[in-house]
Amino acid sequence: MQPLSRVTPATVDVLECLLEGAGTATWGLQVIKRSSRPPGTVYPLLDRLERAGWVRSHWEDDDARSGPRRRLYALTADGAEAASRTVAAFGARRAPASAAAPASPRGSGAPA
Amino acid sequence: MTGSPARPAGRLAACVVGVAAMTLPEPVRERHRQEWLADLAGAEGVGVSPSGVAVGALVFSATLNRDAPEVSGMPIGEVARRRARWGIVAIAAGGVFGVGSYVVGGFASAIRPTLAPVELALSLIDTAIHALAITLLLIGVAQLWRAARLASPLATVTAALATVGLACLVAAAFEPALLAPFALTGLVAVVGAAILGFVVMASAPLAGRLPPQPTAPLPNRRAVLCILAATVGLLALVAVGAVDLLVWGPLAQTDGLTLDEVYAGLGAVDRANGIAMIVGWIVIWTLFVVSFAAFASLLQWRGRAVRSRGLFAVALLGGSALLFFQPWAGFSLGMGIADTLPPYAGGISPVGYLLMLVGQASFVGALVLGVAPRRPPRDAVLAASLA
Repeated sequence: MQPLSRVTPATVDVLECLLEGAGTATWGLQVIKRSSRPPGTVYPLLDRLERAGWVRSHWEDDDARSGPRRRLYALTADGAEAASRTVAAFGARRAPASAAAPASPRGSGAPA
Repeated sequence: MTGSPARPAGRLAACVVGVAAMTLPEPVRERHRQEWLADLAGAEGVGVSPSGVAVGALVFSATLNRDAPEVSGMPIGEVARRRARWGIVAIAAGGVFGVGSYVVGGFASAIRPTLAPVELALSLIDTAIHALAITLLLIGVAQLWRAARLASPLATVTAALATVGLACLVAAAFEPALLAPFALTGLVAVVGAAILGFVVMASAPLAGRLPPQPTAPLPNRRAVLCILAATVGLLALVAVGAVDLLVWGPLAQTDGLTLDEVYAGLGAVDRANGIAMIVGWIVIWTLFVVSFAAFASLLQWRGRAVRSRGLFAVALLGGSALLFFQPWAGFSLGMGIADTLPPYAGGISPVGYLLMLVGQASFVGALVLGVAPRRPPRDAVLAASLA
């Protein structure tokens, strides 16, 4: 697994969504919905996380649903540890700023 | 829930997603196409805008790192080499169009007045050629830098030298007062970049290449058709070039005289010498075309099957060479006209101008076929992407 060259608030939001899955795979569109980030931000982020080895993805195995298959994403074991550390570190950096100003919904790390 | 959005907005979003997927490299295309279509189908159900998904697909395609092996399906070294070769082709093509325009001196100074719509069309083409030359140079330099970024520090030096050299050459064309120092510096830098670039490419390790892919030989019927098409095309260039030299060119060089008056006004020696040079050009290039057809047919007949790419590369190179020498073949007749039929109007005919552009385009076509990397076979790319 490779370290991320750049961690942005959007990266943290996406990692938080994936951490909430607690090891279960999450549909990419659900990550977009829960992170409240636009698809144009989330798609490249998921791709970057997957290529860095933080995330693995696979096709949904649902015979009952017709049409194109959904792509599901989950943190790898190493990725989950790194994601927890990254989210915590980012939260710690954000804490002093949020003490001075009212916290935004994103600042709490809670999904939308 | 269905796989294809039914509403017009959904259909438009699906079209955009399809277009975004089409722009992706083959190894990752189908995966993302299917993922985005599934997201589109379920977007409204989870409260996400389908247009957002479509825009997301476009953003993804625009920001994707296409040099990564898992995306390109090729090792980094192969990607760098392919980018460098495309860069060389683009720079050479820009140089051919740019130098061609510079030598002629622009449409306005080269063409005698003719029909207004034709003149307008040719002047627009002339402007477009200038813009195309600059665009190709910029694309070529960008490709060299992208290749250098993937390769080595020495490759970066090569790209920097090439950039400085080309900038100096372009500056020389636009600033006549500093022509000599700019042109000299530019030439030295470009030649240095070429030598260094050759060293970089030659010294690169063999690892990181796609295995060589032999091209399939043409079946006899298609080979005959290809040889025939190339031969007819080249003979057509010789025929049009000959008419231009003997008819349209002399008319463009004189102001208001008929063709009979032009030839009658020339001295016997000037007329004979001028026509002899033109006939010599026709004979030499007709022989070249016949030899080309005979040699290609012989290769095919003896079982060394002709490849379409090589065949058309040689034909295009031949076409550019015969059109390069075409104006020179009319030099003697033009000098005779200038000496004996004042006032000399000068210039070339509109057809001569178009032939010049066709010659430049032929050379660029030969470069694309001969130097640009071939599209790797799908199997090789997919195998490399899975490795």
